[in-house]
Amino acid sequence: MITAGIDLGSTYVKTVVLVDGAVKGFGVSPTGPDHDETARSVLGSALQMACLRQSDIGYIVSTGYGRRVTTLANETISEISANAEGTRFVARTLGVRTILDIGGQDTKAISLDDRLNIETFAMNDKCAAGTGRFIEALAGVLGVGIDDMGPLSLKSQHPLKITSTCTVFARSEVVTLIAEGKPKEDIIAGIHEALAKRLATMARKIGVRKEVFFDGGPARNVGMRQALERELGITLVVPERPQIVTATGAAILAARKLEKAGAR
Amino acid sequence: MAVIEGGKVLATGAVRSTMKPAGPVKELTGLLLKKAGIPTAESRLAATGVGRKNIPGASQLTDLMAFSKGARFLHPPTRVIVDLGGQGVRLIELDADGIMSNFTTNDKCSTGTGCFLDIMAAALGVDPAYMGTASQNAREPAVINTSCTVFAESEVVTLVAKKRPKEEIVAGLNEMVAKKVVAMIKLAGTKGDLMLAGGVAMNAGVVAAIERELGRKSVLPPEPNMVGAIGAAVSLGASK
Repeated sequence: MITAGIDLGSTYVKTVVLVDGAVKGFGVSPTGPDHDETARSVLGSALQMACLRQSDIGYIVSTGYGRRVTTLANETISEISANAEGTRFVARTLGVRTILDIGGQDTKAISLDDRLNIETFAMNDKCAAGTGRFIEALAGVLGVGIDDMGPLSLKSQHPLKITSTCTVFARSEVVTLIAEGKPKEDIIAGIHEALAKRLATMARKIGVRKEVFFDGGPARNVGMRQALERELGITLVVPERPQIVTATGAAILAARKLEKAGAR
Repeated sequence: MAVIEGGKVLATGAVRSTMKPAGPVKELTGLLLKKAGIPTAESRLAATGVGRKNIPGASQLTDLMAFSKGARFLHPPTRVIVDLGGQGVRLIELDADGIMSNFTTNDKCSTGTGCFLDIMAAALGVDPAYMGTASQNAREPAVINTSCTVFAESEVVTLVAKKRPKEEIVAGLNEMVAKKVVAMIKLAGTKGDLMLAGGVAMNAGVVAAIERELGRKSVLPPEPNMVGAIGAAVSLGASK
């Protein structure tokens, strides 16, 4: 049985091709102006990795902010459900009770019960300060690539404090710090700490219970991971590919749909 | 900066803020006193704002005090002043005697500030001055779905790419600013005459959107960005 999940995020589009319960291909690409076109090309690369063609796919489920835009999908599902499904698949035996999923324009905190069903969730999509966009905007000011932020921050001896909450004000603050000749790594470490503080506040609202699963693009950032671990005082469970958890969940839901249809 | 004598504003002027304001302030003081025809020796100086401690020889007062006094001077029945500043929005409530009874401030979020409008002007590729007048010609305001400057910036870029007329985008942004400001006013639950002050109050589109959203008229001083400066001058007792 072959299914696909497409996660059309605000910043990246992610796809996963699932063959008999195993991820055989995936693709990740920045969201272009045309969501549907980006989705087609990202699905193409996932299919290529799996040595399959689009006609081989039995069912496609889309999720994420742009899920309704693509004409590829047979069905859409909310990213909260898809993410929880993906987490169950990736970390089934690890006893996850809390999920922190940072996206490009929103952040979700989800709590799971003992059977790994969604209990409650909180979401921030109102303010860029608690999302991946915060790091992205400040990386831009620093002239540092998003993938270099994590490794650079590890060199910091004295993390600086970013006092502004608002991303726009933080941008001016970082410009001032650069002008004062402060080391980049100390500024970056401060940026991670600021975001970690905001995430921790949000997570505490729904209650932080171990184990805590951390996914979404920024979970690839080692500096961000460590800052959040320090802030919460726990060790996080981070999947090998944090960016495709939600797309994986969508592919699994697609497989379940197909299974039900077959049984009927 | 404002020069006041005998209850009248004789001259006003502004210079851009710098790290060392003393020099430019001295220069502007000279210029304005000359314009007002007052010898320097007969004048007194008061300073307010973040840089007030850096002005030698000036008596100091807080921004809130300055706004209270300025609003009272310009329009005595004023009960609420909303200062739409470059980096924050402040709301000052006055009692019947013009004494500050309460204030709320939002400087955590850039939405609705002067900084917000400058960023949007840049995203639209227009002069900041265009933002104040463009919405008059809008047929239908564009709907801006977010409340965050950073997200709104992306939305504006998308709307421009979709060839949405710029005046409609500006009208949508004005409504976004108005919603935030009016929410703050409603939260304070104020009644009575409401004065809009600060640089953003010079934007006619924003003022109209606030009045629409609020469902009542506001008091708009001739120079909304001078309310604090006028209040500082008033504090010296040079008037009335």
